[in-house]
Amino acid sequence: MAQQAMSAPGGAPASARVPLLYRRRARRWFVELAYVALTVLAAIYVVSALGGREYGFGFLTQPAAFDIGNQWLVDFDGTTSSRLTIYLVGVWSTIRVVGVAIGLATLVGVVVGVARLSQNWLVAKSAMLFVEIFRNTPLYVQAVIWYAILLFGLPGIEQVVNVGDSFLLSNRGVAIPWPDPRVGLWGGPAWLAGSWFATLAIGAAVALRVRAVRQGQERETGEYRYPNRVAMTTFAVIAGASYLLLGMPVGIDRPIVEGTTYAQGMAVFPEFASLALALTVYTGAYIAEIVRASIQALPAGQTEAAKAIGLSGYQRLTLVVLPQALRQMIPSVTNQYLSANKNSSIALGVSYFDLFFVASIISNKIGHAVEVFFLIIVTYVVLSLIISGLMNIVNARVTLHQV
Amino acid sequence: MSTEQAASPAAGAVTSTSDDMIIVEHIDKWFGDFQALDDVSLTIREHEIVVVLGPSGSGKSTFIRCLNRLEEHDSGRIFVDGIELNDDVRNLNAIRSEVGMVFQQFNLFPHLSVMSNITLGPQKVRRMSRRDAEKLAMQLLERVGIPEQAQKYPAQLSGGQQQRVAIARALAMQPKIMLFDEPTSALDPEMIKEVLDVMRELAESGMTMIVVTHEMGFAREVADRLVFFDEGAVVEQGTPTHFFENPQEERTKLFLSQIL
Repeated sequence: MAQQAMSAPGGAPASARVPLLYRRRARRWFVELAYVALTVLAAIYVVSALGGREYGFGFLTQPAAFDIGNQWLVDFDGTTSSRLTIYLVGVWSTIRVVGVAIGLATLVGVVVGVARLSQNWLVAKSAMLFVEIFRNTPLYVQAVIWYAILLFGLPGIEQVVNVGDSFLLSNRGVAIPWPDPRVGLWGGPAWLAGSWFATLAIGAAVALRVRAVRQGQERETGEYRYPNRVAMTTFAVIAGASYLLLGMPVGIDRPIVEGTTYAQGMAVFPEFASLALALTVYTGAYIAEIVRASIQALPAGQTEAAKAIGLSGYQRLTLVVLPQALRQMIPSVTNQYLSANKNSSIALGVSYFDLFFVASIISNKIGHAVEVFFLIIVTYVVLSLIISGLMNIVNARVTLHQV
Repeated sequence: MSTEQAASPAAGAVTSTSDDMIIVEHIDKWFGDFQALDDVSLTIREHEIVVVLGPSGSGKSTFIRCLNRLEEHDSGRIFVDGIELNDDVRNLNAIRSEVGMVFQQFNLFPHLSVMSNITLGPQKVRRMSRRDAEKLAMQLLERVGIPEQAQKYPAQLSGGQQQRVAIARALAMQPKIMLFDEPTSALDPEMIKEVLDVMRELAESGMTMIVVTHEMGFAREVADRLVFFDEGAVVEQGTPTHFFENPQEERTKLFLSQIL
């Protein structure tokens, strides 16, 4: 630049030479050099700090030698299973608590967010109170309080509340009946139970298709075609008929109390319930604010136009307001889902064996802290990438028709 | 159901005669401490075209927004086609499906195509079949002159086209009355005419119309009656001839001298 200015014709005055310190290009070079130097120094430090030790994940294949509670749909035994298996049980526990919490938090968030904008003073203020309480207290504290309520507020397992041998409630959680594959009328091939579950899946798919077709007819003709009722009947008929045809291969396993815990049936333990509850209301409170803001960001004219063509309050919400607000809120809601995923790592505060709790125990017993924490970080990153990947698909689908 | 709704409130209506479409009796409207409407009474006959004039803040928009209860009046009574506008939600739904409204900012639904914007009300409120609703929508789009835009989205249309779609959307509910709240005020000058032409055609077809506008040419040519609002009250009303050639009130004269 300076060269050009000096050689410019027309008698322009020769530029003074710019000191190095004031040249833009020189400054950029200097910053970049400093950055590279610091990075190299940091790398050298890390390598020297970690060096001189053996690294490897071989310890993961050895027996875990400890047991964890709160398993769900896994057949795990700490004395024979490997450390990797027990870690994966922890990962599965994280996935299930985050999955439940994300689903329920979305529901809570939409309902509370819409309720905050209600014309009804009581409804609006109750929703506001909900948001302000659960948004402004620490998640960890909330989880511990829920845990305490479930543990000390409910009767001990000796005084278990028993509703018809099907529903048990105590401070060890809730237990309900659960399907149990058994020997059916036609003898005992084990695959009969499995094939009935497969038929259920097929039945559900058929029912959904019937519903879609009926909905299409309803849109086409404007006549009531009862898509939901017909679909549910279809499913019930397929499920019932195949159950009888396969010789009733699945029974009902009623829960019982065995010692100080539940046996058989399906139990939801207070550890899981308190963490799921805390994540649900905490995340739900944030989502409620996102929902409220997205609805308020819509021009008032949208609601007025919907009123003017005679749409009911529910129709205005579901046909005009939410379809537009939903698009606005997906990026923010995705952030909340990612937060819920990472926040689930407070699980050890309520003795819930999530991946972080299990990994901490492994590390306490055997060491290998570097490998274990590397594993923890990679697992959370993978889970987060899966969530944001799924949300990107949702986002792409809802913005498909937008211009 | 609809006959019941229509009959019972009408029995209480003392002043209703067969061709009075809208009866407004002594309504007041307050926004906090500000009185937007002050003892307004007005009767509008079937097929009548009423143009409402007035300076900004005079209450003319508030007035027509009270006629389909986008604003609630604080006192007085409003009857639309014999049905009283009150807390009865059945009355509200019956009136809203009989009164179409066109807004200054169009207020089309941006997430729906032009076609879906028009068919939404007929399908969801009138439970018309999609085929019939779409046939009706195409007829209306032809009537407002843009049948080729049916599959586009509002954001792809010009302002004038959007407002014509908004008129078609209101007409799709087959209303007895159309309310226009400054329908051309947000339009570029070259698009005003295309919207006014549609409104002119609508007026000729016998629709009962109440139009808030500053388009004096339209008012002079189309209106049966002009109503002048100032400070929330009806100051003067009369035929266009009376209004433009022989206004009586000082405030009317002042207003006309400023805009003509």
